[in-house]
Amino acid sequence: MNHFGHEQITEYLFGEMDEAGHEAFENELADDEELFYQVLETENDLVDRYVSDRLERESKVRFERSLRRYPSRSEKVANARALAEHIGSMQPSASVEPEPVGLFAKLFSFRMSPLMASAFGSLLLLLISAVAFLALENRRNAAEISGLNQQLRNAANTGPVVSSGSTDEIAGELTVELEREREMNERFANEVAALRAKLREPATNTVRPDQTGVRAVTFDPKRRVREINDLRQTSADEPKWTSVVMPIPETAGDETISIKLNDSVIESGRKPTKGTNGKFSVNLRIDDSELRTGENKITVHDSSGREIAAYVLKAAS
Amino acid sequence: MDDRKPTAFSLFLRAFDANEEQGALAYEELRFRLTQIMKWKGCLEADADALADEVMERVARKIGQGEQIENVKAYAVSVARFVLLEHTRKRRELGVDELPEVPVHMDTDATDGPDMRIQCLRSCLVEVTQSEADQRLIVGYYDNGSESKNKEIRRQLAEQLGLTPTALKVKACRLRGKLERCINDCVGRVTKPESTDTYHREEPAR
Repeated sequence: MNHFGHEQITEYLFGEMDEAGHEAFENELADDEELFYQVLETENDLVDRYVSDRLERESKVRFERSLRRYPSRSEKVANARALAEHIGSMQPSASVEPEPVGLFAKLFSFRMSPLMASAFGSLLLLLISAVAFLALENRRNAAEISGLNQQLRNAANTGPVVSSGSTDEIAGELTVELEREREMNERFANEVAALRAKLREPATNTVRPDQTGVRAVTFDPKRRVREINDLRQTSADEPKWTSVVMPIPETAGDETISIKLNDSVIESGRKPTKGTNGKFSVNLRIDDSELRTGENKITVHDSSGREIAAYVLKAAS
Repeated sequence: MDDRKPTAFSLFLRAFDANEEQGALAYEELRFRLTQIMKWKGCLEADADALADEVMERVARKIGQGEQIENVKAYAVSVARFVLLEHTRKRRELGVDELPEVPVHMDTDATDGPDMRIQCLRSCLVEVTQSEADQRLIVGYYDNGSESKNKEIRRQLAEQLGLTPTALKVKACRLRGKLERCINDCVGRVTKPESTDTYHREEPAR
């Protein structure tokens, strides 16, 4: 029986243990089957809770912070989401629904808010009603036209005895009628096209918050100001981030550095990385929630606190 | 009588268990744990696999040289630390870390699309599970409903399979590990171009 509790396991998984504790924990991991699987189970559980939005706020913040440190966990998140979706699709209520295909499959494969779903539902209903109405109208019109044609033929055959007007008058009425029908059909076709366009619009624009990509901004000594134009003032609930690479002077190569964003320390105790060209740089990930609209000053400081490099990330929504 | 000299690998297996078959199972288990530990040390999935193999090879070599190792698992973890340090140093030298810290495909859904991952998951579920019971196990065990529902489903699963709750947990975790690995491979095959990173193709030092 291992002597590590749940809190210690989560500290290990979130990379919050001190070095000595971490080493002791790890020594037991390979040797203690129960502990190993307890840690694995806890990680799976955290990932599943994250995916289903059941993590408490504080745990969620810790979890998201851990995604930077443990890149393989992001794949776990994606897999957990797929697994949850697969399991969801196997539920009895879902299994009786037909498998969505084509445009509609695409349309409804997005996760929507209840409001959006309801709007989609209404639009779809409207579209179906319009199409059904159009089809019925067409059928009715076709029958009417065929009747009128028959009447026209009869009029031509029997002359003014059975007709209430002359052939020319009947033909004129028919032309007006046909023209009206054509206009009506055209109007319906336009309405249907507009509804279809409306339906397509959210499908292309709706992006799940956690589906957003990662921006990469690489500063260089000659371009110390860079811009991003799609900043989302999001919270930890909707993470989006920017990977930032910043060159730093060679003099600081072997030093421990710290990084400040808008004068607040966001990273400390970092070692710069040396590229194949012998130049040093530092890279970090900044969440959108940490950025503000406008100028964001990112400064790099050496171990004595001296500023050794400064960059500006201009952010616009 | 077989008078062939045992290879370093067979000696390694025997270090786990006198029965080589049991030894092979223990080998696989240790490799799985090392891969996982590498990931918990911040390695990417692909790196973690390669590094775990490197650790296993070094431990096997040591045993092959006649070294008496009291606790192979603990020894493997200490070797893992060195291997990871070397790996980190090598990445720095090659400037790999100069790339953005977060790989471009970090947010996996954004690049491979949720549909593809689900397709991979479905084919992998068949591939990695040996029976329908295994499929039911993984689907039931990870049914992400309420806590009480989960507990009840897991209790029933354990009962149906004649397993203790701990044995069920181990089985579910192993299956999920295999499943995730299969999905990642599947998605990787479909979406990502062949890696140009030559580091992982290098033969380990002899």
